[in-house]
Amino acid sequence: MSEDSQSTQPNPPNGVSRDTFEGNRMEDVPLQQIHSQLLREKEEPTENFSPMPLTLMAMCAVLIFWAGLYLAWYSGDLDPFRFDETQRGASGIADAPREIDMLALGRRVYNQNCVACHQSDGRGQSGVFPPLVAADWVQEESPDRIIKVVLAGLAGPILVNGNPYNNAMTAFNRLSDRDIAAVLTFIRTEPTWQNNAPAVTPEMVAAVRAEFGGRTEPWTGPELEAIHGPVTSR
Amino acid sequence: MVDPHRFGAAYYLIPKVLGRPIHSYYLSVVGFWSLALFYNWAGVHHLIGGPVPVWVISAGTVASVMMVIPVVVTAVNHHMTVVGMQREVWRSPTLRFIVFGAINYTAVSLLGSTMALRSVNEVTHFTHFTVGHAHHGVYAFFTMIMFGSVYYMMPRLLKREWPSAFLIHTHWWACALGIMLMVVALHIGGWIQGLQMNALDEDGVPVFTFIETVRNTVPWLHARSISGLLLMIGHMAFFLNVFWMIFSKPAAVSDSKPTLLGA
Amino acid sequence: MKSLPILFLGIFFTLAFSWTGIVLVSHIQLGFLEPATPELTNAEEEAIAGVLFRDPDTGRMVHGRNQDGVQANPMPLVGSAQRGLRVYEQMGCLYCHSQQVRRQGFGSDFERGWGNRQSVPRDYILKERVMLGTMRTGPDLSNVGLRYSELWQHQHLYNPQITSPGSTMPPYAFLYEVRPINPVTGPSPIAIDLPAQWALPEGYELIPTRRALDLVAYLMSLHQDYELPEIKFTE
Ligand code: HEC
Ligand code: HEC
Repeated sequence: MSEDSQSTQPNPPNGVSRDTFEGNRMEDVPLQQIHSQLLREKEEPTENFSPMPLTLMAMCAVLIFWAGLYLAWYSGDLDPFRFDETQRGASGIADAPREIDMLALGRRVYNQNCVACHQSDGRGQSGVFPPLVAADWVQEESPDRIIKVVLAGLAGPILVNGNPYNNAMTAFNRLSDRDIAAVLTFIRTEPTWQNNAPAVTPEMVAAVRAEFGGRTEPWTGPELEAIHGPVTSR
Repeated sequence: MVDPHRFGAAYYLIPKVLGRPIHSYYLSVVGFWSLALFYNWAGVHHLIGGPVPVWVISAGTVASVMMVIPVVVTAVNHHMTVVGMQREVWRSPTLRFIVFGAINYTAVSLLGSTMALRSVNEVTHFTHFTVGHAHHGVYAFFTMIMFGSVYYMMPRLLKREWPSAFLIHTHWWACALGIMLMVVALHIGGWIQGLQMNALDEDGVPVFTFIETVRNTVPWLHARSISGLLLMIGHMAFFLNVFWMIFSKPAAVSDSKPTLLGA
Repeated sequence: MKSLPILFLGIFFTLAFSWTGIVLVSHIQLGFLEPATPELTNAEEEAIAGVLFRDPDTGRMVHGRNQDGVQANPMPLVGSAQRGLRVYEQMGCLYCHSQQVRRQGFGSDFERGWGNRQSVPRDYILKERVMLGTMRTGPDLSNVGLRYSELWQHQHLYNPQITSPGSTMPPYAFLYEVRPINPVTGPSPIAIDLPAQWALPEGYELIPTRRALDLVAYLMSLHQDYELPEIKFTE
């Protein structure tokens, strides 16, 4: 710093020398605090104006292109009643009847209606709910007895595989012929359930329903025995 | 959601603490408007597979994927601002938390866009994957950025410095490791849960019973409990530091230097 | 800031865009759903494909009329089941259970027997609250009213281990009261039977509280076992 510039500096107000002036200010604690507060701050954020990289522009273009394709393909014609994006054409069900896998359908009907009592493995609960796995009732050549059981329910003392049960099963006449046929086919033919009995067709169920469909009270063991004779596994 | 807050905090604090301008004004404009345009539509991705028409879900999926634009643009902007100053970022408690949050914002958003694809969502929906994703967003990015902001604001409001660098260290490591553990555990566990839930054999029969799929998540949930413990340790350290700072006498001038973390 | 009006307009239009798309259009399309039977007829008693059809005379879109004597679905919740919805909400069942069936081919909902078809918007009308749920720590409950008896539901809520060994669902035993059997009037008619293994000490019985009865009534009311014009059972 030149002599000149120093001489233009105003003298300290009280006339004491510069050194003392600065020394005094060193002890001015609030001032020093404000200084250090200010010194740590950087300037307010500003922005540079670097251009948008080309690769980013390309990415945006690709994304917008994809979005167009996706919307064109999966817009479902903006139909409020279209719920399957893989389906093309008018909404509603496909007309062609599809082949139904009775075993898979039966497992579903079973999971939805029977697991509460007979359990998901079909072994029941000893003394309360009879088993369907390896059960003499299920293994019978003719399914008519158990069709009746499912349609109208079953109550009172019975023997399953020689074990006594005395409880009540609810009626399932709200199920369609096809669903009942499927669930019985499932419990009779599923290999791990060890019954190996012939499948049940919807026609068989329809025949039983036509004859006994009006029945509202559950069947009893003796009643069924009067029609079908004692339970005989094959 | 929490995005706008975070954008505000990160866009202000990163350049402010580093004393370096944001990389590109144009990028921030593109980021802002594309976010405004797509984010509201993206909410529908929570209903994929649910009882809503196909077109609504498709719109949600597209918007969620388009969120890649604001996310990548913002990521480039933040990254370019920070690049070359990693040491400063690592030494400043504020920036350490904020940059961690910003990195996780990129990660969680790109993952989120992927999860909005129907075929991915089929697996992840209804599982712990989604829970992990939610924590990834709200903790690893939002909460961490808020921690960083508090580290910035408190010394300026109270005119005194953070009393203990050790406690900041503890807070940082416990929270960063804790949340990463939680996110990784829930993502892996949830993905497995979703695959097992949907697995069908060739006859169309579920391979795993429902309760098996639930039981198989338990080890991952144990990992989550450990991560929760870590987070709690971090929060205690943070609380202690704040408490100490508020109730300590203002520091003497000589040591009124910002509390920085060793490299 | 000179660009303030532009900023304001821009934000207004981006918000208006999404609001129109998601809220307004959906409301126009789905806001007026009514209970329906699978087959609908128009004013001339002709079967029509959808719920809405264009009246040939006026050219306006009108609702189809339900056939007489056929139950229109869904049915509103009434009485105990309606109160049970609140209990379901308060107990946090929502955090672990969803109530939405995904279509066949998307997840395994159908194969697990959680429903015969996918859930559609009409299934949720007439409900005070919609408990869609986003998490499946427990199974989907859209059709749980078809799967189990009331007794099963009570036993399961009292202690899930009774009906589902190994379950991770918390017991809601506080919704039940273990009481000494009244020596004068004998066992209560609403007491819950328990299997021998879980039997209470001699002389005690398990009585569901009002909330338990409401909750089970609500659970038993959950079913989507009807077809609608827009959705038929999946084969
Ligand atoms: C409410 C509980 C309950 C439900 C639900 C139920 N059952 Fe039963 N089921 C029983 C009881 C109890 C018996 C024995 C009745 C008795 O003791 O008289 C029984 C008996 C049977 C029997 C004859 C005995 C045997 O073990 O072979 C068959 C077959 C059967 N059920 C099939 C089914 C099928 C198929 C379904 C599903 C559509 C079903 N049940 C649903 C409770 C139930
Ligand atoms: C912590 C998560 C959790 C909560 C909270 C929970 N559940 Fe569950 N729930 C489960 C799990 C896991 C299962 C499967 C195992 C079982 O059957 O217990 C289940 C099964 C069920 C089932 C049998 C479903 C079926 O198809 O087999 C019903 C009904 C049920 N829960 C009702 C409820 C109700 C009502 C509540 C609220 C009072 C509730 N749950 C709260 C986890 C939960």
